Order: sequence, then C-alpha cells, then structure tokens
Amino acid sequence: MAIGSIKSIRTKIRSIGNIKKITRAMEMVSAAKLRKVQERLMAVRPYASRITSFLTGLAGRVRNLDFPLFQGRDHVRRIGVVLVMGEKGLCGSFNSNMLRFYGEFQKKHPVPVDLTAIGKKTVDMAKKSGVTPVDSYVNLKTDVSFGEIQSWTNRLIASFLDGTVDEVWVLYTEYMNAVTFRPRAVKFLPVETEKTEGKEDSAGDYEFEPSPKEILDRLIPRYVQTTFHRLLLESMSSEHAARMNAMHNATDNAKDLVSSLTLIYNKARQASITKELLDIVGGAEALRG
Amino acid sequence: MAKEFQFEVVTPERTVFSKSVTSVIMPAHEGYLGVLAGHAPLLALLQPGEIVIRLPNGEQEEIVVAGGFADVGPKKCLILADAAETPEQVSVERARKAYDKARQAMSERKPGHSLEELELALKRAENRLKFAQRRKKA
Repeated sequence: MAIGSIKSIRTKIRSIGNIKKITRAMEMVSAAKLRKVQERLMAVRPYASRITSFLTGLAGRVRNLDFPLFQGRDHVRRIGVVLVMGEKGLCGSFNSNMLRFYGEFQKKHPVPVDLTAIGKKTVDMAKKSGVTPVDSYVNLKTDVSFGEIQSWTNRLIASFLDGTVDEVWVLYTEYMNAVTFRPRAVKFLPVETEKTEGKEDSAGDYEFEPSPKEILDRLIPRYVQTTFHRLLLESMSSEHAARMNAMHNATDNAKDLVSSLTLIYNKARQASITKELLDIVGGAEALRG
Repeated sequence: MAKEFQFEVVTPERTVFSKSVTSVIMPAHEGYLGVLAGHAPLLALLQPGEIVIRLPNGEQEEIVVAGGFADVGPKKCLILADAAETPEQVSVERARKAYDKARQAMSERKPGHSLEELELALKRAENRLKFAQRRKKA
C-alpha cells in the first residue's frame, strides 16, 4: 500500500480520536446536568402528586363546583398546545420523537391550534413549518424561577378564561429513568377532576377551614404552577438523559472505528515494510549476481 | 400511651418531615389547631407560623411554615407547605435579608404586586425571622 494512504489513515484515526474526546466530554456534561435536574424533579414529584390528589379529593367532595377552570366546554373550537422540546440537538431521537408525536396529536385533534413553543427546537420547528407561536420561550434554565412559571401559566389561564382557546394541552417527554422516556400529552386546562358520583353525600363528613371556595382559590394557582413546573423538569431530564445516551453511543462507535482503523493502519504499515525488505533483498541479490 | 398517626410535611423542594407522631399543632387559617389521632377529616388553609410536633417518645420538634394546605384524616395528616424549614435549616441572616426585602417592597409599593401579596410576604418573612432568632437563643 502506498505511503499516502497510510498517512491518510493516521489522520483519520487522529480525527476520530478527537471526536471521541468531544463526545465523551459532552456525555459527562449531560450526566452532570441530568443529575441536577433529576434531583429537582424527584423533589417536586411527591408534592405534585399529593397536591393533585388533594385537589381531586376536594373537588370530588364539593357539589356544584362553580369554578371556571374546572368547566369543560362541549364544543372545542380551538385548543392551546404547549409543545416542550429540547434546547439543542445531538440528543438522539428526543426531538424527532416529539415531532412525530405532535403530528399524531394533531390528527387526533383536528382543530386550530394556538402554539406555545418551549425550547429552541420547538421554535425552529415552528419556523420551518410556517407556524407562528403565540408565545415562545427559549434558553430554559435548570432552575426556572417560580415567577417565570407563574407568568406562563397566567397567560395560559387567561387565554382559556377569555375563550380564545377551549382546552390547553401540554406535550412533553415523561422521564422514567435514564434510558426510558416517552412523549406524552396531558390536558392542562380545564382541570380534570375525578367524578365521585356515588359519594355525593361525602362532603358532609369533611370539614373545611375556611370555606371550600377559599381553599380552591389558593389551591388552584399552586396546583397549576406545580404541575407545569413538573412537566418542564420531566422534559429537561429526558433531554439530558437522551443526550447522555446518544453521546455514550457515539463514544462507543468512535472507539470501534479507531480500533478497526488501527488494525488497517498496522496491516498497511507492515505491508509497506515487507515490501521494502523485499526490495532490499532483491537489490542485494542482483548486486551479488 | 397516646395513639400515633402518620404526619408528613411536603414542599415543592423536598419532603421536610415524614414520621409517626402523637400530636401536631399547626397554624390553620382561623388560628392554631391541634391534631391528635382520630381527628375528623378536615381540609384547611395554613397561614405562616410554626408547626409543633410531639413524637411518640415525648420529644418535641418544630417546623416553620410559610403557609400552605393541610389534609387531616383519622390516621394520616399531610401538610402541603409553600415552604417549610426545620430549626437546623433556617438561617438568621437569610431570614433577615428576606425580611428587609419584603419591608422595602412594602414601602415602595412595587408595581405588579397587590398589597395583599406584599403583606403576606412580609408576614412570612417576619415569621421566619422570629423563628430563626428564637432558635438561635435556645
């Protein structure tokens, strides 16, 4: 084999080695970020699930619940969709799965959509498909402040209350563990409560301090914000986990590539040495002759 | 021997307390409320204040809360607090800072906040500061 190709193989090995270093570093960074977000997610989950059961319990016990956020509308003309995707690419199928899921979601809900885009990838997607989001938020931080969440949920609630949209859905990726996560859609508004038909009279054996209405007034904003916060954390955890896995695979692939290229390189090197030796031996033979 | 029941304090940041206890006193909306095992079901709003917990071994624990909700049942009592801290977690400096900030916001009447909200924030800060200072002396 020619010297030139040996050299080109060596360059290739070196550049793949560099790629490996980068992907390894990205894997580490994602792992660290994942740990941070996951910690917050695990902290918020117990509170979120309890406030949900608190709310459904309360709503189920109060008859004639006269709270606009609970009231579903019979005729859904327009829905608000909050689409949560990643900030960056290089995270395997995380974003494309969500996109496919959104496509299916739209088939199931063939009504006009007011899109709220969260994450840079969502904004990019919207731009590509010619949709103008009602609202968009990028550069989501791990420690989203409470005030920020409040301003988003307030806007969603306002658009629901003034009748711009009849339902609000959130599409996010649920985080199960570091290797499993799946896209999900949840109906955010109206707040769905369990119907406890059979227990009509159970309100009697519960006391309220002060009145149920006053408790609901305080509880609902809390509930909405906590839920929203949890969904964001779920999505962020999934994104980091997806990137960590993708980068791990990339590092492994680079390793394989380097070892197979090294084998080719060594073979080529050995072949050229053998060839040189043959030349020398041949030359010496000719001189002696 | 007093009957025990399960008591939990959960905030969006963490689970602050989760143990079997014999009695709990909490700052409910209408005033402090004592809970023993077998309490009638009750849903209550909490105001900023202190929760006093008595453990089965006779020891007492205190937790400062910034308001929240309580779900009391015969065998279980759950508090969903906006924020809650045990004496070890609360720091006087941080409490003072929050207090000063709340006072300033109050005196400036920051736009975008209702007077009610500001009052509540001030009350929360005051409550925490008092708690922190008392714990330090003790």
